[in-house]
Amino acid sequence: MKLIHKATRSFLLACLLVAGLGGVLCYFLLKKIFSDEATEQLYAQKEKIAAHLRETRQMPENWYSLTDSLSVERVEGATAETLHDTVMANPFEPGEMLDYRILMFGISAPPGGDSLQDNRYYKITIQNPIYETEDLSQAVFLIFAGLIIALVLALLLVNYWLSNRLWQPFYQTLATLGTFKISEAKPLEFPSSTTTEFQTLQHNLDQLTSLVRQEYASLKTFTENASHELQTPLAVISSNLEQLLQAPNLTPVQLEQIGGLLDTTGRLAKMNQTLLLLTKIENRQFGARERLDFSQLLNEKLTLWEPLMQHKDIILRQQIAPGINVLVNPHLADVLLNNLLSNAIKHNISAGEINIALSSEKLVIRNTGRAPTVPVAQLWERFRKDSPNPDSLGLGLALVAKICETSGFEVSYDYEEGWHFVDMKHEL
Amino acid sequence: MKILLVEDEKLLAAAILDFLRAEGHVCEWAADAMAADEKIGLYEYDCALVDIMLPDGSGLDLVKKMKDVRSRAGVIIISAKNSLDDKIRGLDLGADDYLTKPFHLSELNARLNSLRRRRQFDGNPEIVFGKIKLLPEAKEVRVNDSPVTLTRKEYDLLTYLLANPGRVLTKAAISEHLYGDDIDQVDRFDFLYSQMKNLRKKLTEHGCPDYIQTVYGVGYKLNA
Repeated sequence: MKLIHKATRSFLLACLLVAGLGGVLCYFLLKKIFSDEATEQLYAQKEKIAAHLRETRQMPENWYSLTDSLSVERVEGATAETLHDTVMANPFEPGEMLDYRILMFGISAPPGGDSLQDNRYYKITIQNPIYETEDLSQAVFLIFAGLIIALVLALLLVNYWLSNRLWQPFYQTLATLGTFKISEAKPLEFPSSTTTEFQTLQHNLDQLTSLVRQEYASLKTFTENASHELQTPLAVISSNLEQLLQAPNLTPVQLEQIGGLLDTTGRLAKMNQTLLLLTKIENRQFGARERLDFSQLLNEKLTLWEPLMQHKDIILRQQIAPGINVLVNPHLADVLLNNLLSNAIKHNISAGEINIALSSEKLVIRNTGRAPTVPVAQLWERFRKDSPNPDSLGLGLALVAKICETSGFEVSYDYEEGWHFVDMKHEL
Repeated sequence: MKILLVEDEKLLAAAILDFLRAEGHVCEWAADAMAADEKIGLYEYDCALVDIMLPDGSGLDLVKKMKDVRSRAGVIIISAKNSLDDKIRGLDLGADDYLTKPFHLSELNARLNSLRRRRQFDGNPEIVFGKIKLLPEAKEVRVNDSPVTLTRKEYDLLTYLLANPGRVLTKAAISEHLYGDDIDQVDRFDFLYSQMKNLRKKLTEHGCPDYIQTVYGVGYKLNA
């Protein structure tokens, strides 16, 4: 989810909450104001009647029946004042019920000058409709809904503008960062921005990337130097041993001892080279991938390994589709195929079989062989070997896995009923 | 051949010089770029073996300098850097070959021999050892003047042996020469044995004495 969407979502939620609460609050507030107003009006009418009675000292006989809202009744004795609400049918809209507030009170007119009678008592009832609650809630709802829609529209517009203008340098910086390649020396060029935060971000990214590149470069140099430092002493040992081997009058035992030392030194050198190769692949120092005719390369490799297969009486069946192009570093492709093929031969049985199939999606190598003594999943690990032979370094499959990982291939290995399977998807 | 060795590691240089002199070459040694530069200016060499990482500079600069003054010497770079970039740069500068440390001295010998063959077009391109005659141009092998049909690997094997007569060659050195050293390969000694057997058989069938001597537990030796 984009930043701008997230911010908009939060704003919208806040808007809805505030508008909802505000609506409810407003509804009750208005209701109270209207209700108070109704009561006030009732008392104002009462005051008017009382004032009239004080002046004229008699109840007007003719107006109490003019309207429903006022009724006068002559009663015996005083009436207590009450104020209550009730629901009655709307006389103008049949079927609709209306809230009425009713003020009931007693009033007495003092006897007139010519009359010797006692005080006359009246019960007066005034009723006024309270403004309809339903209409009120509808009005409030409409007003607030309109407000929310207007707000959302404004918010979307502002956010659209923000993302287009204000956040543009940020998105451009992100895109630039995406093109960062550790092996390239060219510094990243960020778009210029007047926003302090973006400037800080770009500055920090600049520092970070150049630091990372420095570290990477020094690691690379270290790797190369480590190779140099180890290979040279190894070269000293093996060269001198080889010269020693040529000495006259060596006994067979001495010859064998020197030969053994030479073999060990050779193994050490190769192990060092292979580990360095793994490190180099991990450091992604084999950057350049190119479209390679994989079919041709595979055929070349098979020609190279054919004598060895014949020597072990291995039957080779191949189904190599011609002209399969794979995007891979050529050097790594070479190492990969060498390892896969030599594995298929090495772990084969005498007079066994190797089936090789290359299609536009994958390379499958099946070979007969003994069941592995180590769990299949562990064979990908370094120095995990399923061979008692000390000449085997146990780095072959680790190398294959690493090369596949960096080249974006998907490789799996399995063993089933006398057959080893290596399945490498080169086109995902 | 007259060979200049530019190598800062004294013990390695000693072994190489010892070996090259035993092979009958005239050798001089320079331990750093400055000394090498001086020698290149003063003398003519047939071949220079140049280490890339020198205490006072890069061997690649030396190669460039030699090519700039149109030295007729062939150049073999010997480097601990098994880096493709260096290899390509070295060969681009005009180096004839590239050997990665550690290398087998017999391999160096084979490279020197092929360099010599490539350089001396006017000389006799044949390699003769006892009754064996090898014609590198035609990739042909003759014993008592009758052609022997060899597979490519058998031919390579014979060339390697002929390049190093009288030397004990380890099985590792031979199979690395034949199959490269990129491979974690187990059965190769066994395989080498059978190839060697086939080669011996083909040569002796044509009336050639068995020059190939097995050095038990180590390797082989071509003996007259």
